[in-house]
Amino acid sequence: MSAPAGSARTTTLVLAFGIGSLVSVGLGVYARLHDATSFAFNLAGFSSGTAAKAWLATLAFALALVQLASALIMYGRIPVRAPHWIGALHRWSGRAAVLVTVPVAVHCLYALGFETNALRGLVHSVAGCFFYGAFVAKMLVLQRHEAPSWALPVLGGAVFTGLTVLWLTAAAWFFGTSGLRF
Amino acid sequence: MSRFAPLLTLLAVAVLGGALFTLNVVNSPANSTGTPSAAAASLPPAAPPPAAPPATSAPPAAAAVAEKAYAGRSAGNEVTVAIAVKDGRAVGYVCDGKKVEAWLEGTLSGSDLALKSKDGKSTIAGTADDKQSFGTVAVNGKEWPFAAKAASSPAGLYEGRAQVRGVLNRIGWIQLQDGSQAGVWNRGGDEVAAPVLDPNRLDGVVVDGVPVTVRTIGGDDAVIVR
Repeated sequence: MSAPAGSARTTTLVLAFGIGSLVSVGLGVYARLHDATSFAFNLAGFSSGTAAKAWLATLAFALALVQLASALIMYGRIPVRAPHWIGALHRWSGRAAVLVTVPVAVHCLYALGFETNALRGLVHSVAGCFFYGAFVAKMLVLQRHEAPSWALPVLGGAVFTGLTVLWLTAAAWFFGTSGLRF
Repeated sequence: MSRFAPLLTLLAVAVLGGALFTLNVVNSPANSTGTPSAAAASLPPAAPPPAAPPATSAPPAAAAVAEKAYAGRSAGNEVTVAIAVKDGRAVGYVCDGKKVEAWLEGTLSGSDLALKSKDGKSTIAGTADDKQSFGTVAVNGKEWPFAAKAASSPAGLYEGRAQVRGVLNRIGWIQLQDGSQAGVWNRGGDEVAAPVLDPNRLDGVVVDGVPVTVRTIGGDDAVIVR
């Protein structure tokens, strides 16, 4: 490993983790300072904004499971021959998953804000900020090919963990308390 | 193209988030005062996410229910909710039976409910039909999903008033279909649990030695003190 390659690695990591952290902290600060409006437009077809959020989040979580499975196959951790379309599946299911989370996150940020009074809300708020920071860091690492090989799986795992916590502390809670409904 | 795929993905997320955020700001009730029904109407997002069903926002319609009362609870039983509608007008009351309460007024347009309190800090947004009302209730910055069933007498919403040594005492009660009751007694700004109301004897409540005038609340009553 030559010295320039080594320093490029460091630069990539510092940039990716630095910008990712800034995004996390920025989201958290906005959510805390911004006056929660308790208002946001609803998606047509759902009984309430909360139900729409819960279903979108559930879809995102399902896509995240596809992410986990396709990543494990790509890294050879599941003893099956990787089909040639596995990379495309991983990329597109990931894009769909993160786009689906955006309306949910915008509603959280705009209408509800950073919750510190209840443990469920606090964990959910922290996980939300962490999720987008980790996502940004992962996209930046992907963009630069010099990153060390451990960076992608670690960041991918972080994004998946974040989304799982988000889903458990909101959608699963919602369906558990008010029943499965649209 | 694919060389910049991760950056393009980031950009797409940022653009979608920004567009939805702008829609929210533009349509916020605070920015379009005086038209609560229009502000709360369903709006299709500018860039629908892949999973969203086709947006079918109905034009302003006649109220789906002429006259009805609903009583129910939030998903985690944090608050009790009552809504009464009549000819497109809606009134609501939310309380936790201990010290949190809010009176709301608004509209029923088609099957869409939109109510808010005098200060706008508490809202109810949802739907109502012949059998039930579903939606989201927000009180002072906290938000919960709720479900309320159509209520038949004696279930429903009651309001009591009494002047105690010159101070307005106001009590809200929600009588649920299963016989349980939740209410908050506002003693000129100091809120405590309400005394029990017998729905069959509305003139039986006395606070601090003063009889309380109790009435049932319908969708055409005024409940916000101006």
